[in-house]
Amino acid sequence: MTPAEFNTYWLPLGDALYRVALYLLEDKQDAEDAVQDLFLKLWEGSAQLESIKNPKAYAVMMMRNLCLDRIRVATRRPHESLSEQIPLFATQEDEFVNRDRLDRVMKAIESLPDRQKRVLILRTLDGLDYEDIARKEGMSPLNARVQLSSARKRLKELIQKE
Amino acid sequence: MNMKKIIAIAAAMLLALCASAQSSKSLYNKYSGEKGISAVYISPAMFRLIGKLPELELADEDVDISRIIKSLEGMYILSTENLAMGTRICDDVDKLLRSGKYELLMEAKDDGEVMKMYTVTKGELITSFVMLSVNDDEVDFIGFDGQIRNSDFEALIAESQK
Amino acid sequence: MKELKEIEEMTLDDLLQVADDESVSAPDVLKKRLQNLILASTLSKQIPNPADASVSASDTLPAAASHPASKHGPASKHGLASKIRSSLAQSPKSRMTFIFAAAASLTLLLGIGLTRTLTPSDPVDTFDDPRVAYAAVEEVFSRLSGNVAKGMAIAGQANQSIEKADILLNQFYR
Repeated sequence: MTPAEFNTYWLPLGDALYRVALYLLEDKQDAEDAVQDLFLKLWEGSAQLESIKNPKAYAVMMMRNLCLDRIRVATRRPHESLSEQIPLFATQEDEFVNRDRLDRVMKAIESLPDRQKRVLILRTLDGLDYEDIARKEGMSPLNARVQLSSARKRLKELIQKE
Repeated sequence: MNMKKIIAIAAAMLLALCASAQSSKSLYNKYSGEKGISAVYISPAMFRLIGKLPELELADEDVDISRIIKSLEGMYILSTENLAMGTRICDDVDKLLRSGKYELLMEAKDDGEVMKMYTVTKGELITSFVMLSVNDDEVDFIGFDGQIRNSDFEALIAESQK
Repeated sequence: MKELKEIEEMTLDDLLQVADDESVSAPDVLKKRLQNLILASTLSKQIPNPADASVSASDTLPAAASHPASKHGPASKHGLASKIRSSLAQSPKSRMTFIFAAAASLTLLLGIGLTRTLTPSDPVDTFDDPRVAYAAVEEVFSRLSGNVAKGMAIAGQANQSIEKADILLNQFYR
């Protein structure tokens, strides 16, 4: 599935899913986190989403399950033995590493100049070609290319800085 | 016929020979200062500077623009909406094409516009490129010299507006 | 947070009702954040992790979806000929405008301070800034590729008429 398709069919569900998360978790920050987690999972498994006829129902059920998991983890009693908790962390380790990298990428994106950020989004998420980007942004197609190259270069530098 | 006259005629012929466009550069020199002509020139030195731009290092898609830029030696662009000027440019471009080893790469006639592209090749390299485009409003000349790989050039111009 | 039991007893319809309750407003920035998240996820796959030697940028850079050539590397001469684009909307004026606008604005900025140290046969660089020059060069290539596409399209049309004529002739002379 292309980012543009995902954008069209799944991204608009954000608000609805937030409401479900808020209702279940009863905390605004938790709800936001849950929505982000869910969307990440959806996006990374987006190849399988093609066959889903009712995105809303599917996403709502996924959110329900995600919230159930979160509540289970949160209500785990503190004196429960570590050995029971370790498996949880082991499988989550990869997730932590990826999330960390993702956070760095997100910070890097945030730090880009506005213009570069916009061109990057139009190109990567909306799948527009340079002509369309140029028209939208009121710049020439090559300037759009230059902006995109600069943005990518900057991200590369920021992310690979260890 | 006295000696002076012969020398005068010979001198005039020599001058005429020198004045006739033998290269994109001389064509450019002839017209760039004229009224009604828009001209753009990019020197080998400038191409070297462009080649050093950080943006170029991050290859955009599959075309190695960086390599092509570094192989360019000079780019000449002339454009005019003046019919008389345009005709003169066309004549001189014809002379230029006949003087060198130019081969027709492509010709297109469409809706009142005629466009021709020519190249000089040396083995796998394109050493000179000329494009002449004529329509109702405008005559455009684009020429560049260099040591461009045939495969790079084809990949570049095969990539449409993307 | 709600009790596990309570949640487990809710039906899909219950949850959908909650989802559609527009009296509850989601934060304005949520959509933006989600977009950024997807963007970050997409890009982080494109940009190789220094520790991740097995992932190369070229593997994961998205090929322009509708552009076959980018999947197969530089087009061979044959490949170039077969790339027929049906529509091309380009007026020469719009194409050249940027190049000359850039040149004109630069001339205004620089005044007419042409250097005299160059030999008479060397023209003067139009641009001072390699970035602007680069943009102009890309514009030129873009124009050229547009023209090539146009040429191909015209050739394609010509080919079609030749093929049609061929078919007719074959039928006639069978």
